[in-house]
Amino acid sequence: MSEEKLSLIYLDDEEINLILFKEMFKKDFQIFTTTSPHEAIEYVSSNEIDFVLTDQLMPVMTGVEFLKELEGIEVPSNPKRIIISGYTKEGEVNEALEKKLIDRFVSKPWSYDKLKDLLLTI
Amino acid sequence: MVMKRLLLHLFVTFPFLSLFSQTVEREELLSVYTYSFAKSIQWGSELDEYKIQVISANAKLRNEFKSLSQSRTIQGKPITVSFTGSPIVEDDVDIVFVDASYNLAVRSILNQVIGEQVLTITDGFDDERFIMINFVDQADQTLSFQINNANIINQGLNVLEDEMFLLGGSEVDVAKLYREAQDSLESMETRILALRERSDSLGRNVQIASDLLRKQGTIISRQTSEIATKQRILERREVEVDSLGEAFSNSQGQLDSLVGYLSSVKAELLTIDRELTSQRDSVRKGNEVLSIQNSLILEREAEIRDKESELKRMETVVVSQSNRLFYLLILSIILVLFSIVIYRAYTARRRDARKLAKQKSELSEILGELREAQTQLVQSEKMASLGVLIAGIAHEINNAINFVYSGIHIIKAKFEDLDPIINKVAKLTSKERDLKKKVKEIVDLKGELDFDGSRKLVGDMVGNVQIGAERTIEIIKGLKTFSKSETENKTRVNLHKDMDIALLLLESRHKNIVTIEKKYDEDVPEIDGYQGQLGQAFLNIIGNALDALEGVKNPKVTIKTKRRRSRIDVSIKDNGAGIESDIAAKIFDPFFTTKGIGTGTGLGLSITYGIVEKHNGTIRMNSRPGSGAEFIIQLPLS
Repeated sequence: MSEEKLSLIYLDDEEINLILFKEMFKKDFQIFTTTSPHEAIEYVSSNEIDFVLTDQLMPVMTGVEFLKELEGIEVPSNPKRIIISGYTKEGEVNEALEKKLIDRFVSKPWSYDKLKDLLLTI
Repeated sequence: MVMKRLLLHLFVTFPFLSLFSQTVEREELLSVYTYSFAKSIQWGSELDEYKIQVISANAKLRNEFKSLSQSRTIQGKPITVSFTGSPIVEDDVDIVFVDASYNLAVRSILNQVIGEQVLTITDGFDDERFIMINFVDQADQTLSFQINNANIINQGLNVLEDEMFLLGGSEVDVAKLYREAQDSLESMETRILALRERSDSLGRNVQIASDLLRKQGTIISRQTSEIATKQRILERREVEVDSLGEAFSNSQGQLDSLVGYLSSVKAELLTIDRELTSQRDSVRKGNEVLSIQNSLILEREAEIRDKESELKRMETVVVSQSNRLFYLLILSIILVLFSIVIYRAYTARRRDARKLAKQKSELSEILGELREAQTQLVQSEKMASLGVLIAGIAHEINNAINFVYSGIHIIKAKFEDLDPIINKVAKLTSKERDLKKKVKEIVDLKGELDFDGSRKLVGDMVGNVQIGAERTIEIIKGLKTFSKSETENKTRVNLHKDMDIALLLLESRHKNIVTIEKKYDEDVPEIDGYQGQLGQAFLNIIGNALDALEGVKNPKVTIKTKRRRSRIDVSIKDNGAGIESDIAAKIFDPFFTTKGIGTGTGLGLSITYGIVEKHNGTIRMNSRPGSGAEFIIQLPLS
């Protein structure tokens, strides 16, 4: 392909979600997936990323906490931040949205078309 | 040195002196002392012999002196002793010893020896002003002596003071004597002054008395002149009386004429008297009539008195009757009041009864409302815990559904990818002429479209879809169990399965966060019970444990079951902060919560307690602050 694909990282503690996502969007994006927030932070700080997608409810830290941590470090690009969660958007997530800490909230189960549209129109 | 010398002297010269005085006779001591005094005094001219006159009637004393004169000498000169019974000093004596029984004569004896070189020794004389040497009996019954040096020197004798000092005794203090004399002189002067003053004051008194006398003289002379003037006044009065006598005889004449006039008046009076007598008679007659009337009146009065007494009797009757009436009246009033009170009480009671009935119905209404409220509360607790659960459950279901949804999407996409091959395969028939060519085309296409990879992927995806679907089914099953109503029937309950459902429903809160250690005893049998309710009980306890583990390092919940002889023990233990003892007592109370307002209803453990009780079991909590809490449920087997 002559046109370079947009790059994306997806963080979720549920491995199956990562497999499904990667399979679904591998034609559209250059995808890196991980279940470890630390690995994700390391990757973001050393690669030019267009989108950061993260689950909200995870064992070590929540998606919002992960994004807050990301805010504090220098990254080569300024990626769009999206939370994908089975929860309804409330509490911490709502607050983060208001503070523009996250750009979009996507609820599970996701649909391929809607999620792709959303990512491409941010 | 002095002390030594003194002792030596006493022992050598007077081995029988005061040291041994208690064993020595007094008379012997007196003679020996006298001998020693003679040795301690110098007479003006040297004596050829020492003449001692002893004035005493004491035979023992005389003997002592006699033996002394025979056995001793003074300054090598002999001693002669003479004895007299009278207080007359003999000529040429050098020493006079006066026995105590002659003390009254001491002054005369001293007068006899004045100016002569004679030493007078007295015994127990009490005026020390006059003595020379005087024996004194001490309080401790030893003999001592006083010495008045001045008097001895006055006699022209010389006292060898060192020698005398060695004999002991005490010197009379002349200065003190002088002072005493001076003091008595002064007191005399003071007395004289006082007496003089007294005589002065007496003189003054005499002066005052004579003044008084003089004053009284003047008063007397004044009174005498007053008497003279009064006499003169009397004389003048006498003259006046004389003139009055004359006036009196004039008046006598006038009186005589008045007497004449009076006798005429008397005659008039007599006639008047006669008239009066006649009038008196008529009065007497009237009086008689009156007395008759009086007796009549008396009779009437008696009658009246009779009637009065009768009246009085009747009055008493009336009074007693009115008393009776009064009491009757009071009694009836009391009766009326009593009946009013009774009536009031009766109506009040009826009112109370009505009120009570009303209150009873109100109370039962309230009770009904309360019961309803309780049911609602229990329901709302269930709803509240469901509400908390649902968020977590939704997350779980959404994830599971995502597997299905996304998996199917991918499978569909893969099938679309593989569509040309499928089409070719579908069109393939056994009657194909160039079968080999067709097969080759399909094989090429397979390679081109990564048929094997896709087929594997579809298989994987179907697996994921299956996982998602199964998870969803499990969650829904659990929810169904949990939401079973109060009216659920008793069934055989597998406690382990029930526990797993509770854990599943709470999965979003512990998966990958809290270590769940399950130590199930495989011997635990199924028991008769309410599956849904027991599940709710476990869910409540585990839910609380998960709450307590928020922010705890290495959080862990240990769930143990154990079959005992007649019961099953279920233990749910966390390693959180534990429960303080003051809170521990209240945890099973309804509406007791440590969670914030709007977070907990305070009914969770209360409902759990009720559920365990419904299964005839017990629940208790062990906790030590800092080392977590353990809930132990014991359920009977039968």
